[in-house]
Amino acid sequence: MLKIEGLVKTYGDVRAVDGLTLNVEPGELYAFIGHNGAGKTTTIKCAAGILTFDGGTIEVAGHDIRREPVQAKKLMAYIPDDPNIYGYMTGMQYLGFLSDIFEIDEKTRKERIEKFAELLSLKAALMMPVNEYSHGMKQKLAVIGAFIHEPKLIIMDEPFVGLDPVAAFTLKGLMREHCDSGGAIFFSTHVLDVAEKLCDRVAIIKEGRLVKTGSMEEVRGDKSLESVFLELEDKNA
Amino acid sequence: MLKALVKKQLKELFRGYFYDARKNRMKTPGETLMRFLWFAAIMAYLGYNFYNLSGSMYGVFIPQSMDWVYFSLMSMIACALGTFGSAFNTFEGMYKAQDNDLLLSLPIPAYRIILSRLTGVAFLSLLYTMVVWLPAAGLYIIRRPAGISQIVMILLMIVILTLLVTVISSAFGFLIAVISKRLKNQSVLTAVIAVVLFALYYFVVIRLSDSFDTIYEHSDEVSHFLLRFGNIFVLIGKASAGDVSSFIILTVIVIFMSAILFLILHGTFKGLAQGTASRKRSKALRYGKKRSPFTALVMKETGYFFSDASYMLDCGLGVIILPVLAVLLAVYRKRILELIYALLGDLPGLEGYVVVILSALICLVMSGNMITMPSVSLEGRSIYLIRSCPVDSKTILNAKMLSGISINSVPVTVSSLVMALSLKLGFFGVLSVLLFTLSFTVFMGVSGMVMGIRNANVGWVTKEAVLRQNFTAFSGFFVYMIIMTAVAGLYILTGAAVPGPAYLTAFSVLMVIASFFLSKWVYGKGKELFEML
Repeated sequence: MLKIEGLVKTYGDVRAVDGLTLNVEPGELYAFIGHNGAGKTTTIKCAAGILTFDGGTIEVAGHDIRREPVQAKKLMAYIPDDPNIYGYMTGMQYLGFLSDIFEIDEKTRKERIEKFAELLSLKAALMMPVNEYSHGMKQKLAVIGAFIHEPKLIIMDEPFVGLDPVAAFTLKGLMREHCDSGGAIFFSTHVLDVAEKLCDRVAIIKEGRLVKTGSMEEVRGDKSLESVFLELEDKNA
Repeated sequence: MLKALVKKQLKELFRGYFYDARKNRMKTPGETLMRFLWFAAIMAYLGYNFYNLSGSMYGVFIPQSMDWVYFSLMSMIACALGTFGSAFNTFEGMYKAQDNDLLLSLPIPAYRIILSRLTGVAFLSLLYTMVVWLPAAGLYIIRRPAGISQIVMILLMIVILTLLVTVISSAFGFLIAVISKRLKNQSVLTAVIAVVLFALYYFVVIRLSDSFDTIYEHSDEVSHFLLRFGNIFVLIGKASAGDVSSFIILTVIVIFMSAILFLILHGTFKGLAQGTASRKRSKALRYGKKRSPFTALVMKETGYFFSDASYMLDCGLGVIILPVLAVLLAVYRKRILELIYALLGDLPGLEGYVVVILSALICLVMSGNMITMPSVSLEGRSIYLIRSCPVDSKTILNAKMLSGISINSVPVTVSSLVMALSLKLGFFGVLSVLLFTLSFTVFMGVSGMVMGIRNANVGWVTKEAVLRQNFTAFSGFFVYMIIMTAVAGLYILTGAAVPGPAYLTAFSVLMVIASFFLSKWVYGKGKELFEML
């Protein structure tokens, strides 16, 4: 579903991502972990078609993100770590805007908005302007916006930040459900417990390079994911 | 601490001169120098125009020994220009800055935050004041022998005028913030009320100017007038003409006004800088109709414009001003035309001159409406949203241009039609005026996009940095002004060699061709640069 091969992204002389390769298959919930500044957000933004990159290829369901960006983006959704959503729109206007962009018919968009807004307890706030939302409410809106067009691939950057425990629990359920029905999710997180309990596969990145990847069992063995992560940090320091 | 805050504020103001936000790097010394030179050239051009204006005023008032009237009128112009240039900055820069929450959370007294914010306003006020006052003062000092004390007072007047313009601008910013808060951020209403306030301010200034005309006609009644209408501009005039007591009274008044305003700003800053809850939570969901992706993008851009009072006031004043001017022309048609004909004299082909000049005037008023220019930068930190959507960049840029052009087209069409019908032009005449003003509107939309992409800055802290307080907006307005001056000037210089409608049609064709080539850039290099943001 998501195929990254030899990704290179530089900022001036700094190689933020250095030859990164990974593959997210349909049905997989894939965690992407690493310390601050390791290159997670840069990789995610390149995969979402937001950042241009210097080398390598990225494919979403067979569509090259550079050559066929529109086709690739039609099949995916992206949730950023800090959801700066148009503050002048109401939540409903924002979801209507996304529905228009993804060409969702009126009946379907209504059903999906009601379903997800109900699940995430945002229904009562949908007619409010987004600039009056709290961080958590914006995050919930971004989540609804991501699920509204039933994408094959969802890319998330720290999706649990700002969510209350109930919403975080609901989101975990939605993520699992999405992958169980054939979709794929690639997300970064610092909450290793969540990654360990929720994910099928994991990739650990350090200084722009992938230092370990595989199924959760392969990566952690008989240890916890936290121990493996800390060992790798020490070993590569 | 205050020094650090002021430094931060000035850095924000001059960021575009030293930092290339699009390439995410510092500009080379050569690039910075070029920017400053271009800015200096624009200021020099404006200064030259005010020098010529000063010359005319000097010729009228100084031979009558009415030096103070000369200075009073020039100070009024400086204040009018300065207030127009920086009034809306105060609202956005002081109350809507993105770092307000951060600064208020730090152990910084609110008065220091306010003072640092006012530095930006004061700096712009100083620039506008200098561009009017320096040529006026220079001309006076060169032509008329003045004592040292008078020269010192004339030069110190720059400081006093700067302070006065800052006070007036800040008062406007404060009033707009109060209105915005009271109206629960209903932006269109806030913008309209702000424009009405502004119109009232200029009405008062023009009335004061009329009073000076009365003085000129009845100079023996000067003292009587002073007793009745003594105002701050009279004090400025008399102080600049060498009256020390007027200078002292003026200084005390301006300092007093500044202190009062500062106390008001200090007492209300936190309350006004905080957001307001505009609408109650509602369970009645209203689902919108399905639209095409392109229409959704155009509506998004248009929605942004009409939801943001600063965007409307900084980049859309012409939308309100043009229809007002059209109504005035329709109502006072006879008087206005008589005035224009009297000014132009008995020229052959007079109607052609009037058509060309009025058409250029419509475009000149519209040239402040640079709606597309900031539209890329205004995406700000939300730019990821549009970049992650399944629409190509050309569609996004087209939507931005179409939105800006559409918003401007309505008032341009209305005012052009009213103007053409008031002049009783024939079918071809009406068509040529419409073609000219609308092709300029398209040219503005496309060239604004070129400038907006080339100077994109999505990392702004204060929205004003991308709306008005930036080099691109300043340059854009200047270029459009030069174009329209050239359109009218060339027609006058060539002695109306061709009929007005034909001349306008020829320029329309030129603007359409220019727009075509600029749009090619937008879809090529511009698209590439947009994707790198």
